[in-house]
Amino acid sequence: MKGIHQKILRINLSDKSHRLDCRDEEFYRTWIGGRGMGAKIIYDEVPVDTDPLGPENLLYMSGGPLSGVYAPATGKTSFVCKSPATGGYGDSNVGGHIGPELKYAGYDALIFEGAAAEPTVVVIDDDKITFQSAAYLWGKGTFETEKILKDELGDDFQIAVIGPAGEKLVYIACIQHDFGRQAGRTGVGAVMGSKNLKAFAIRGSKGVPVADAAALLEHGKQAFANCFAKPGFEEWTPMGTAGVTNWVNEIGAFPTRNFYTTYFPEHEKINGEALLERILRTDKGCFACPTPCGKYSSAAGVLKDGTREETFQVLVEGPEYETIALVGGNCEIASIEEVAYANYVMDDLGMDTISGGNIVAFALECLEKGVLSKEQVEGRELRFGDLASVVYLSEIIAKRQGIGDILAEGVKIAAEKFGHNSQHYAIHVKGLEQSGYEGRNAPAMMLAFMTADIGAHHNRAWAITHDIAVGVDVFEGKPEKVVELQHIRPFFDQMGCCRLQWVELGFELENYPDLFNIVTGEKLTWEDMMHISERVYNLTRMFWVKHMPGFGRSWDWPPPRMIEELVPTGPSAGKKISEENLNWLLDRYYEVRGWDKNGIPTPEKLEQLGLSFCLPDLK
Amino acid sequence: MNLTTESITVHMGIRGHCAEYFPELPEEFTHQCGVGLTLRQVMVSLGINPLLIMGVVVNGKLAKKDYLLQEGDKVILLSPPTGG
Repeated sequence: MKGIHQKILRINLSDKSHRLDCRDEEFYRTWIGGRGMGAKIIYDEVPVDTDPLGPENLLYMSGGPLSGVYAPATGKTSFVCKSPATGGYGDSNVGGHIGPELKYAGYDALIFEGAAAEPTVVVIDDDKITFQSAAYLWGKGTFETEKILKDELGDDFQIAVIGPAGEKLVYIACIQHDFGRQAGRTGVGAVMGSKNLKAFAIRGSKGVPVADAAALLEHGKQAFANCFAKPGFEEWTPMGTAGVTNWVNEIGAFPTRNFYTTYFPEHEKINGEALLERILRTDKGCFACPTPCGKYSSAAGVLKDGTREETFQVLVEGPEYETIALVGGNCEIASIEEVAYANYVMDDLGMDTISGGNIVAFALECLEKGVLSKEQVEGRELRFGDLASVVYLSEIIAKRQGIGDILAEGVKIAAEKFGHNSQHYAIHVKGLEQSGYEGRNAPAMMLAFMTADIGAHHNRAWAITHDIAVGVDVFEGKPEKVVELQHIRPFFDQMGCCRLQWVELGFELENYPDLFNIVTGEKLTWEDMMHISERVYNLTRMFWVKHMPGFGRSWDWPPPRMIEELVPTGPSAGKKISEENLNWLLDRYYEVRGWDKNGIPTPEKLEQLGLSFCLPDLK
Repeated sequence: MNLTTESITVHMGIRGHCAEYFPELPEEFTHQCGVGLTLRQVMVSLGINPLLIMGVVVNGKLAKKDYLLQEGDKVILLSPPTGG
């Protein structure tokens, strides 16, 4: 099999050693790469009862066989670990250039083991691995850290860093790369922080072994030409993901005021047009991307904090849609400049803007409802719609100061500690805060959040257009659609490429087996790929079964607000989702998947997918 | 009613994944419709659920779904993007 080096670089931070983990081709055929290989490795090697922030946890990173080759958008990279945010399976992907660079350095994957005694930077320069002190970087923000390392090492190094949130083991800490790309979800940055790893830098000078280089040149060239020629290319690119803001409001699914409602009347102040007309400076694409969704913005404004006023002027990559939804609508910030500033603050602190916006809104509602007192926030008058409130809460969370120390562990744990019915305001599934779509009037999307294998994240099965297409009151067929999408979309994270060309441009799925086979020399069909993706989805499910005592159906249940409260305003006014309908969706979903009534894969399903090694963990 | 004076011709295209929900419509087509109709009304008459369309571009510029169609307009219907 080509497209791989058959080398996984394992770096032990405890004793500053490194070694190569060379696996046979069958391992790659079975798991492909990216999150697939990562899921298998952490399943095998992370013991039950491992503290996600202990040295026994692994931090794995890999693109996949297509990573770094001449084909559209082959720059996606997955981080995988046991998640501190949920305690279960965790992964998060990032764009930029670091995945291809790892491949050019001669490795298919990188694993950090153990924990350094002191703050450390690891430099991977092809075969040379060095460990440097990061004492002088500890405490610094992500932007400054990456800039210092670029200046010291050279622009040709690709660098991943954590900010203060990662250092403080905040459960929503992200890993930042390329001055604005984040592996944001599931607390991968906290795992990096727990290893005292402030940053790592990679430079590679090797090629990628390809089965048929001539065919790849021809096919890759044609694939780029197809993307550029796709009707809609010119129209889609200018606003990137921010362009969806109006639409999500139009269908009544925009998180607003801590998911209290699903329509933000001031959304036109923070939408794609506002970004385009007021703050956009340039596009910013990832490795080999023909459709750059990244937007570099320059925003200026005034931060009014009590009687104090400060002007701000920031350059930031974003805001993209999820930040607009969670920091904008969900915290009721009605200014694209202010959303961009909050985006900058959270990025620099090294925290996920999805979970960050969600937790800030949760805290604001807790204050509003009397769950938290003014004294717990240093006497401040915090409120929705106030940038200073968002910035203050972000900072105390990232630095674990005061009440921020509890909020730093996410809304699920915070609600358990706060009590007073605050569970009702905690919007999460499995402990992961929900991303930027509301499901009370979108059952397929709701089911997608409930059954995503990392918690309430949208990118496993973005099923909301299916809700609109077949009707929001229709339930039949939706579990089947969610399962189908849960196999298609995460497979991109196994190959090492971005899915947006398929989703946005209609770049046909049939292209991917062709590209994969040209690179690897394999003969996989799309159906083969979906079988492998299903294998991984069942393995990640089994990770939860193995690690979480009592795991089952109740873990797939949505936040109480979705069941108990009617949407009060907007296009989805009067809607909520009933327990009866949720149970029907789950029953059918489990049936389609071949899982039992409690949502546990059956022995037959595990054997069918080549997961017999999981059978002992069913007990 | 004289169709030649009471109708207009517009050029339409559907982009992205939502096209799968309108399999009977080609990616590009020319459509004749009555004068004084909004794009939303024309979408409905074609069996396109306007809620499945994220945004519209008319003659190269972003427009509202309630845009009043004019003779010769070039209309592009965009599917929602989904982030990553």
